[in-house]
Amino acid sequence: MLVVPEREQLPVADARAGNAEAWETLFRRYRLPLYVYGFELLRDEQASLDLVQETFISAFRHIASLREDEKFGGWLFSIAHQKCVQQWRRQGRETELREELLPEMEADNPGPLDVLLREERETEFMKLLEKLPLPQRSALLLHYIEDFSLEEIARITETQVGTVKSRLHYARRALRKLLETQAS
Amino acid sequence: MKTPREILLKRHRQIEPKLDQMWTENLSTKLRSERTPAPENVFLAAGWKLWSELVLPSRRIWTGLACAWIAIIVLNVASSEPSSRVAGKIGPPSREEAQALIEQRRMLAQLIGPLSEPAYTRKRASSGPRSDRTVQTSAV
Repeated sequence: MLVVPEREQLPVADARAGNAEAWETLFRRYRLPLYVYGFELLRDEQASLDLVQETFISAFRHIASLREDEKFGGWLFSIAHQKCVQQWRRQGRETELREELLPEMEADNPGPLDVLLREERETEFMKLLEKLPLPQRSALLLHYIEDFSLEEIARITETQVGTVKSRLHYARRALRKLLETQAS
Repeated sequence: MKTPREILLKRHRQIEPKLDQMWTENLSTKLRSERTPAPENVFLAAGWKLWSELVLPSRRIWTGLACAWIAIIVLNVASSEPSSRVAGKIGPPSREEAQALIEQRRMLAQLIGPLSEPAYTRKRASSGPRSDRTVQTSAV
């Protein structure tokens, strides 16, 4: 079964030194997760491909500003997230970025493997994801795709940890409903 | 049964050839043009390290400071008159001006008498007894 990858050793130091092979390794590792993140937020194939490309170009240029190599994934997703926000602004979807003030919730923090879906429920899961408000969708995707911690998601989306907890709580509650109907 | 991650990645896996094409056609070329390897020379390498660790991470702050200094220098240059221009304005007096000045001095001398030494440089009349001084005064 494919699981969320362990915090693997990535050749970030070599990439910083300008090693092309190291960059290719990083690209192969993150190209699809970044594309998925972009597509599920922007709902546009070309825009999502552009997002991956622009994210990597920014990463080439600004790798020197990355202080901790082990945070490369979060740093890369934060670049992608900023580009998504710019894209939403261009599309005039700013209202979707704002959400109702949700009361802060205690983290019910099961790992991404705690939710298992039957194959026939995949489409419903995708539809549900599409229906979620952008901030909740973004938090859930970051949690599912890369298993980022609450702190990492907060850093990527430039929000408070409490806000991320709330977003994940409400997104999971919607997902739980789906699972309940699945069980019944 | 699948995890959401598996569902999400599987759903978009067909895009991978396009992403690979992106690497070979655009990104690898871009990377080659962007790449700036650390220089061989020790001093250059130290400079490069300083640049990449001190300047690059806070480049916005440095840019802001540089802009502020440029603005200060430009304002300073624009508001001050160059010394050569000031010197050019004053210049040496013309012959007519010099002649007029001499004439004015002559007239002043006629009016108030020849220019004498300033009072403070004059010797004190006498340091003798006060009785002698009165005699001198009456003699004048």
